[in-house]
Amino acid sequence: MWKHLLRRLLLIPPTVLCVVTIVFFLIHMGVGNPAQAILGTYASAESLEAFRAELGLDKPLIVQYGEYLSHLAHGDLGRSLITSHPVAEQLRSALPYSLELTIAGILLGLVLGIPLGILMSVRQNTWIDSVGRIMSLVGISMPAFFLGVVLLIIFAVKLDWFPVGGVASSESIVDRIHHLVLPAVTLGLVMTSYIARTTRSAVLNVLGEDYLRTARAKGQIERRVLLHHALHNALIPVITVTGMYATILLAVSPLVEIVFGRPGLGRLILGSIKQSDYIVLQSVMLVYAAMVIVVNLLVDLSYSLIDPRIRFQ
Amino acid sequence: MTRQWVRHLRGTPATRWGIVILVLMALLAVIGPCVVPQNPYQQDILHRLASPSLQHILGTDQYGRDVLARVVLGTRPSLEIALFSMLFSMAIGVPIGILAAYRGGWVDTLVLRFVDVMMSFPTLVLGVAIAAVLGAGLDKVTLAIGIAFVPRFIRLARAPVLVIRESVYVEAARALGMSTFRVLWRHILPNVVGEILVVATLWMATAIRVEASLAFLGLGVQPPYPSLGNMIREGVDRLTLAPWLALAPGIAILLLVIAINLIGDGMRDLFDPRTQSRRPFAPSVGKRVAGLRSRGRL
Repeated sequence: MWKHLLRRLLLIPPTVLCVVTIVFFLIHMGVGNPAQAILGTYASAESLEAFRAELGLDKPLIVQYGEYLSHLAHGDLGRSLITSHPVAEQLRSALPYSLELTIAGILLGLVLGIPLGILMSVRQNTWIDSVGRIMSLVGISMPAFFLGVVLLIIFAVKLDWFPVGGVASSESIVDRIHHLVLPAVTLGLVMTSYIARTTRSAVLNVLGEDYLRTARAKGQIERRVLLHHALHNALIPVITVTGMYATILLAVSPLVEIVFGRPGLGRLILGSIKQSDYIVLQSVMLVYAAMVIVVNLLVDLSYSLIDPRIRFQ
Repeated sequence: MTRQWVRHLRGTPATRWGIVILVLMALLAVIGPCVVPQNPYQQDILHRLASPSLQHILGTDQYGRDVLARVVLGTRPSLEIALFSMLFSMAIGVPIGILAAYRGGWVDTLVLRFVDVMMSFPTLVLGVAIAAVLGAGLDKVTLAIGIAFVPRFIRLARAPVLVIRESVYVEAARALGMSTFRVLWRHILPNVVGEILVVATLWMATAIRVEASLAFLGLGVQPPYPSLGNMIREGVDRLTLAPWLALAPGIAILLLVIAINLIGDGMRDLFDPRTQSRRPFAPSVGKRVAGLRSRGRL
């Protein structure tokens, strides 16, 4: 177990270095002339040159890369080209909103999706299964930001149960949750669809296994057979899918944030695209890659916790 | 065999619905602009944000343009981008994946490490970054989504080839002195193409959602040309006044993605080792790949 953890941890630094390298070269080779993009087409040659020198863009690419790595090693992600604020600071203020939303969505997805999946599998080919399957299909087919729009129209515009957008202005936890409910339900319903589908098929796969028949023959009640024996063995694919879709949820959460006007990574991404602020964009990409690496590590470790065969391999 | 596949697909009610919806929407996208009487670009300031009526079935937008005509026209870029981006990623990713797995050794390790690193970025985030670098527009977004999917196709093509390359018939082909290209073309590609097509179909649905997301961020097809994503973006700003502006294109995306998912699910049943009895042929490779995957070997 510890050897496995150590091996996985040792793989992280080279992966991060590769990610940083790809992001740097993708952005720097692709953006063309950021000075022109920011100062506009009417900027004089001198001001363009001065701007390039200020950003260090007049140096050879490989030198820029070396400097970037050195700054990164010191926790310096650079400064926004538009606001001149340190990007790390911007990320620090945006990230909690995005993480809060994504974690709420994942938890909601697990809480709703696993029971729904079990219910669908034990009631296979009944109306419950059919309704659940149709809802899951709609959930996985609907772009999350559109689901957000639908919920916003129904529950904020028409029924006026929740605020139309933004975040809590006060420190009150109730106000904070009130603002979080609709965006979290948006992501949560998407996650529920994926998890319910996977749980259904994973439980169906183990329902015919001998150890379930043995458990029933021993006289165990059906709930224990399902929750203890069937679900425990069906959890591996569910965890794989949770990890996989957690990263997708991380990716779509900025769009949901934009729909609900939340000040998270979505606003940073939208601003960086609109204003050609490539320093912010590359930092946001690094943050995403880091989050995916962490999620993958957690998924990998949870396999070992759930399945003793993997733990002792 | 192709006829058997078509018969099998038509035999699943859900898949049949998927085919009907997709064909109808594709037809509408191609010939719809000729059928819908309103001009999608014609502005009518006097009838701005008009509610759905007989004259404008899905209402009008902030410039008085007919929403139905724009939804019909906006479906076309979604379908084009999904189709061509998948063809692009397949054309790049599949040969790399097959060759890497067939050659093995350091080439395979290098390709696998590259794919692992690229897959650290969610497809949407990678698509956003590439599209932001390339700029907006139909062709650039197609390219951005295509590039973002390449690592996934490499991995998809690589996995079954690791099993197939050890097969007796591949060994026999090599023993007969066939060139690497001929072995790959005649003996390996036909055995992986089915699974790749199934997943590519399902990923087309993802590509439509990614395109809509990019358009929502302002990176897709640019106004005044309509795309379903940019129509939702414009609609979100006027939700309280005219909710149909966002709902109509959103429902069109939903139908399109559901249809493709239903077809993809039907096709997957053809290749799923667990539904072998219903399938027109035996997937020995698919079964072995599934076995290896479940043991975490691929």
